[in-house]
Amino acid sequence: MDKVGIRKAGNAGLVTTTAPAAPAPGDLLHTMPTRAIAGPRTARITKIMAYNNTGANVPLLFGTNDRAVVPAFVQLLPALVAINGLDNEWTEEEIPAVEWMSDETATAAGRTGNIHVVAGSVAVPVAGIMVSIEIEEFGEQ
Amino acid sequence: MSVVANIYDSDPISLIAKIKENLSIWTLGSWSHFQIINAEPLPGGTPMIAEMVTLSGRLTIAANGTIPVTAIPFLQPRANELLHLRWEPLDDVEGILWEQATQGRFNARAVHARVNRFTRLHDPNLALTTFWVLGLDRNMALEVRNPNPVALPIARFHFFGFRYMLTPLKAEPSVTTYLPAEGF
Repeated sequence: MDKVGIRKAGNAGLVTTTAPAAPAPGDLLHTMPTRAIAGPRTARITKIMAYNNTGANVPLLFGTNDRAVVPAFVQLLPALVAINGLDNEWTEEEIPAVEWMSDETATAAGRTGNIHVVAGSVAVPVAGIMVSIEIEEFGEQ
Repeated sequence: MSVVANIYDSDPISLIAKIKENLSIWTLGSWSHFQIINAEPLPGGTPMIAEMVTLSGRLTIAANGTIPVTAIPFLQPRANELLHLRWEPLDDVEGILWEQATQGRFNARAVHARVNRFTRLHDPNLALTTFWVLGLDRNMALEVRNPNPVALPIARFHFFGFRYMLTPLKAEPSVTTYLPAEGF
């Protein structure tokens, strides 16, 4: 039996990707609860919606960065290509059950921390992709 | 035969004693004795949802923040009335139960347990959330915590259960149901 959690939208709401100077840290999609307040929760992405009107297909990279020893974007899912001019959707069945963790302890792998997205690549980020996620947070099961 | 109420069994909520039966309630540090005159369910619904952000005069509950202990007006009974309630949050917030704003419920030496959206996972009937309010000015109060790192505009809690009408008895009856209603 799989775990049961609290399903909700990413708390950054509807996000439009940005193109900062490389290396891109990723745009924040969901801030994890902190261990001190909520206990060590984890979260899975259960749905992704993205709209791309940039004129070309753009890969979306989902990962984290802010709790690595040396903060840098760490990709945790394979790239998903947002097709230009299409409402791109990925649902729970198509997304591996990768869990982002709320533990504040910095790890070399950078697997704990908030959920970020990079459009394009870390070296050449692409602005203007609208991204919204649904997540499920686990805490007591 | 006198019995101790099975108030924390994991079953769906039901009357702890029948109408015209006796009830001995542990409150204010001693047993008080009553007969149940009448009872009726409080099945919940919109009037029994407490929205604690508005109730506490706020616009939001802050990120990782707290709403201090707040009494809920619709859970204030009349004299010689007993409320028998279970509850859960409808939003991703945690509730901490207090008696009279000072005596914590559901606590042990080093922990004060909370009710949250996960409670129903291991306690489907919310039996462990059972609490009681007896008579005038013996209010319950709720403290709310937001486990999210973002402010929330809403923090709803839903209550349901029973209301008992009681008449006091002068002496301990020979047959009664003992109800340890207060924390210790």
